[in-house]
Amino acid sequence: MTVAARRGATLAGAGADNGAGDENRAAAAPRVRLSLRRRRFLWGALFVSPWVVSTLGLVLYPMGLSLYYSFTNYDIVGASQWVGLANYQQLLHDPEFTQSLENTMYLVVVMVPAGLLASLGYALLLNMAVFGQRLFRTVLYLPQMVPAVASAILWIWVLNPTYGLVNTMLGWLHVTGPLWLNSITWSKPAIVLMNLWGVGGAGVIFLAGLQGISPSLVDAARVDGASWWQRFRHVTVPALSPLILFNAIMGVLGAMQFFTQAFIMGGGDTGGASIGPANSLQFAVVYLYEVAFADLRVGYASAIGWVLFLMTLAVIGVLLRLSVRWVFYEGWRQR
Amino acid sequence: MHSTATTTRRSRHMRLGFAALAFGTLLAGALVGCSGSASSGAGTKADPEQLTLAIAWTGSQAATMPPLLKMYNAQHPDVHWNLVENVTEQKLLAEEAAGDAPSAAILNTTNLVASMATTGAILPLAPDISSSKLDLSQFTPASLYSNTYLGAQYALPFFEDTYALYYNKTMFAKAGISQPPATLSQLEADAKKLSITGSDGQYTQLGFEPTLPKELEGYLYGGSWANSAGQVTATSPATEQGVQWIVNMEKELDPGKVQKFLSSSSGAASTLDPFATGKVAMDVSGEWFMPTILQQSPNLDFGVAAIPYPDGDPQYADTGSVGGNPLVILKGAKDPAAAWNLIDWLATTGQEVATKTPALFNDVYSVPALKSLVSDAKLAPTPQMAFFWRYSGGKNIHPFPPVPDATTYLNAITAAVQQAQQTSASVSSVLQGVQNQYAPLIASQIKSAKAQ
Repeated sequence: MTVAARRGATLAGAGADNGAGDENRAAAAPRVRLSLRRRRFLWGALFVSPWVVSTLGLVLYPMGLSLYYSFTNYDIVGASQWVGLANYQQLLHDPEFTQSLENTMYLVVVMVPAGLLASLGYALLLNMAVFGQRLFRTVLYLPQMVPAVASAILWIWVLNPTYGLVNTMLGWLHVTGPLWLNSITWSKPAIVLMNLWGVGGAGVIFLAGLQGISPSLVDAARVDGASWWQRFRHVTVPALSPLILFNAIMGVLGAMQFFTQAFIMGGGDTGGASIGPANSLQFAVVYLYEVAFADLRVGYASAIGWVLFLMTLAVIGVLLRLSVRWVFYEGWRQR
Repeated sequence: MHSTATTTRRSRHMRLGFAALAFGTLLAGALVGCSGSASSGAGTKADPEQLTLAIAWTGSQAATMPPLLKMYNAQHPDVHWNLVENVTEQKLLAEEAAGDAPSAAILNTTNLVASMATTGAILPLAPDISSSKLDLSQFTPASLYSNTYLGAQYALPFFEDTYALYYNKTMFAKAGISQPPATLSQLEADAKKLSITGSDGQYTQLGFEPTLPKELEGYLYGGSWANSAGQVTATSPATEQGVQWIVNMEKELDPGKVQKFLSSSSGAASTLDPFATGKVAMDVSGEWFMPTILQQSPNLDFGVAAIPYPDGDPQYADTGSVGGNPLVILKGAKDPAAAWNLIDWLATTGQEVATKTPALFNDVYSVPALKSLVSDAKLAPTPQMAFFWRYSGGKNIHPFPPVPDATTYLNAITAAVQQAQQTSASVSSVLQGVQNQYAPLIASQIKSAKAQ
């Protein structure tokens, strides 16, 4: 069979058997000839189909279903009952939801910027050509490899008011450490502190960005007499700004969905225990979980999920809107 | 020509292959069918119906169940119950939603009975109770009530947890205290006497751990968290008085110092319990705590006493709380009648067998829900356990009220009490917040359940 003939073979024949049998079949029945473009499209569709099917079936369909349930009373077992906007109206007067949102926004406002600063600091330090650089990079990235549950249990110990590492170190400085997870005031800062331990992932992204900055830019600034701070402020930060935006968005996504560590460190269960002292660690997703799987109010929990989703979109929208002012894309031309 | 011959041979081989495969399949199917019919034809009876009992328990507690089920299966050859462990309520609901629910289950908490009853996830037992003439008065009142919803029985009790005051006899003797406190003021005085502060101003020994499990502070002055109609009563004067007492108790001992002491010697911070290790003189806990003490401090000389009552109000003596493991029949059960027979047997005969068989009781180690058992002190393995059993049958023992949304209601109460203990928020304001949120929510759930 010539190359030209093979190109003209049917898709089924090309996929199944290019041997002599095809020629016989082709001789026996009229062959449907597909254009190269059509065949490429079909092959492309075939290869992309796992993703399309999983996105439709495991993402969009459940999302649509949860949107529908958010307008119903649904308890998993029975049939759903349409209640219109009642669930959303009820959310407006739900103090526990309000508290959980406040707790969540604390993470967005405090934990995300703190994480960005810490990871940028890590990256700057790890970018220095010092002895043991590779070891430091590995060590600082290691917490990323620890599962969330294990890190939560570890940090319960680290933050123990009497025997914990943090308060012991504060004691060396003659500072009496707080009660951390046992205190209404300090439980959320404890979560922020724990999060700083695990910013190695964002740090690696910043490190890659730092290594991508052209030395000629830094050298030019140095020749022009720019100080370290000026080089950092006017060369490094603009060059890293797309990555700062990326890490900020990822941080916001993580903060809005914060669950595992809070549930474990706050002593959560489905038996009615307070999540942290006076529910100080009851973040929005934790509350959603309790409402859905302890109280079986899945319709109401779906409404919480959608409000949270819209709030996440809003926060990221604001970030993207503001990014126009400070994010610099090399090669991007403003119209 | 060559290729045509090859193709013909190949297709012939393929046809032969398929024919052989089909023949083999048919033969195997026929053999299986013959063996099946032979066994059923020659057998004396049909295969027993295969049913599933799901339990939330794991570990030693779960070890109680296989021998009991084996006994039941032997006595009922028409059914064979299979046990599945570690099935939480969430898994059960997922299985129900998927149409693959086990026929019966033992839940981990009574707090979910009302919610599951409201949603129809578990079946009402009234018809079965009536037809089988099961005498409900044989169960302790609190255990029975915890398994109801709006007066209707939705579950049967199967071993309970009851809470009372543990006290360290050695520490009492050292402090010159001869008896456990009978009243709340005696408890306060003893707690202060037994608390020791170190040179750094922190406690090295605590007289009383000022937290009460199962929200039982609400019952101390005769209050409740909801009445029998399911109306939330978080702001009733008696409930508020009880909460005020525990808040005052923590504030008198200094919440910061108490939390620091407890965080350093209990919970996740330590595998050793501060009462078991002799750092806390009095603690309110359940009977399930005793194996921990025996394991960590086998020589600890401790006693168990009634939870003290308010001075001048002996009618509130022997107050406490109870929780348990409800036996339920699930919606979509393959054979609800067989499921009823099992849970009826487990709640009565099964519970009696497990209590009277030391090997089984050591695994479950809790409080039976049958009056005949809890009143028989000879059956209890220790005097302390005998106390718990007797205590569980009292008139002032309360379960958390069987209302819908009990879990988040409990969560809100716990958080409110902690708020009042650790901040300047008043007890009345935090309880009012809980009342405002949960009274209309639970009322609307009950209303819609009644309307269905």
